[in-house]
Amino acid sequence: MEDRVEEQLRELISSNLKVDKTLIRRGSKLADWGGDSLLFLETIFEVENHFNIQFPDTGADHVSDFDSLVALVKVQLLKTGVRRFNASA
Amino acid sequence: MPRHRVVVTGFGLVTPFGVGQQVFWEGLTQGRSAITAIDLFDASAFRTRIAGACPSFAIEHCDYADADRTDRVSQFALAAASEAMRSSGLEIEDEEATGVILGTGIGGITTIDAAQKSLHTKGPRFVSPMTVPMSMFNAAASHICIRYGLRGPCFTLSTACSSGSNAIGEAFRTIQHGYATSMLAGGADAPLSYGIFSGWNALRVMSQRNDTPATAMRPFSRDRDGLVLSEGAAIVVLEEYEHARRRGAAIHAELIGYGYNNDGLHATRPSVDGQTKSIRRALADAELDISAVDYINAHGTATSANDATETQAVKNVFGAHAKRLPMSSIKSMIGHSMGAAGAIEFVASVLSLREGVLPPTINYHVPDPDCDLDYVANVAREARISTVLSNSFAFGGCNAILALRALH
Repeated sequence: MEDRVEEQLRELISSNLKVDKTLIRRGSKLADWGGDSLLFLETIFEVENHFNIQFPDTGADHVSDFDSLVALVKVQLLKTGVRRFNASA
Repeated sequence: MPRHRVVVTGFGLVTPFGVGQQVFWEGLTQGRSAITAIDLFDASAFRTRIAGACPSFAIEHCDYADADRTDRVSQFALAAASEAMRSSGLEIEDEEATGVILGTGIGGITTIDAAQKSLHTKGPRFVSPMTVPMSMFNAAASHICIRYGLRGPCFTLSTACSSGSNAIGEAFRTIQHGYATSMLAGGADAPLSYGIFSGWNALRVMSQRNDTPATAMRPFSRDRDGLVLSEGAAIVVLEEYEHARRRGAAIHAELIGYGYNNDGLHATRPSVDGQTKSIRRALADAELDISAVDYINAHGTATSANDATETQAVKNVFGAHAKRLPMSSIKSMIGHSMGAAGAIEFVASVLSLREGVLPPTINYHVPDPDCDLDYVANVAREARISTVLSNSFAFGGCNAILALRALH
């Protein structure tokens, strides 16, 4: 699961920002990928749609590197899972 | 104030015939129709199910790395600009003295439609953050400035079906008055989107000859039953005459007059009086005698009201000369591309001057007593002409006329 989230994020970012996948790895900063705030917003939108999650309104503001993006997606996936679990119980 | 002379040194197009000036001119002079059944969306529930789409268009034609982040209308404009720049051979030496003026009737409507669909079917948080930058009316002009590094005058105007003509007219003024030495100007529209097409369908001005798309649009013919909606773009490079001459540019025509006004009467019904006065304004601006005009590229939308009104306005202005004045509607072949139409027809006018050929009004078979001029019926005609008018009349009562001549 962990690897799959990372791999899918790598795919999304690579196609959206038109950067080589090898540049998208643990420890890399968003600034390393080029692009601008608009492109980043669009990428966040694609990530939300892809994983069927919603980041908190200010959640994405703190994302500055690949690690924090992966962490944010995983937290939201967990929350969504918990909510779905509660709803179906 | 002395005015600079303004010439046409390049142009590019995306039309239902395809991408580029060559397929466009071949299609027009062969009198072919580019109208087909709609396959861009499910049109089965509509009264009209035909259109003039640009099926051979591909994003690569834009020659722009970020083209996939633009609406279809901007992509058309970028592709037309790319051909226009190449054909003009213009090198941007003074970026502050070169700009862009574009016209569009409905801008990035495909993007708006997609956002509305997401909003209503999925919810407010599913609307793309690209919705605003892709749908804003000035997106196309801005992307052209970004692509070619242009930093001179730039704006986008919207006067429905006259938009392309008004844009070329405003760029003409910009150079005449010394605010720029060269301008990219024209029009683009991509209205073949499910949402807005449903509005056109409801308006009942489109042809319902769904089984015979190629012969559906019949301007000036008594059996006309309305327009066929289409899409596309045309952009011309306008240049101050001395600037063009110094760099040895090929000069295709000189733009000599621009007249525009408003009927001030009705949102959709055309006015003989308003159209008559707009043509007179263009003639006065060009300091042309009526007898000097050799050909009119008509607005010719194949609606009952437009064609009779346009005919009467031309007769009012030209009197006895009207009977000797050929006037054709290329919309009979490529449909009505709204804000692009005036610019596409301006390019056709330039080509008529340069090549000495008048494109026909196809599908003309039944004379109408209210439309009794020479419409260059069905077959292109060779003609030595030196002065042309290009007419555009729009919903909202906006009229715009351009006058051009061969450079002697």
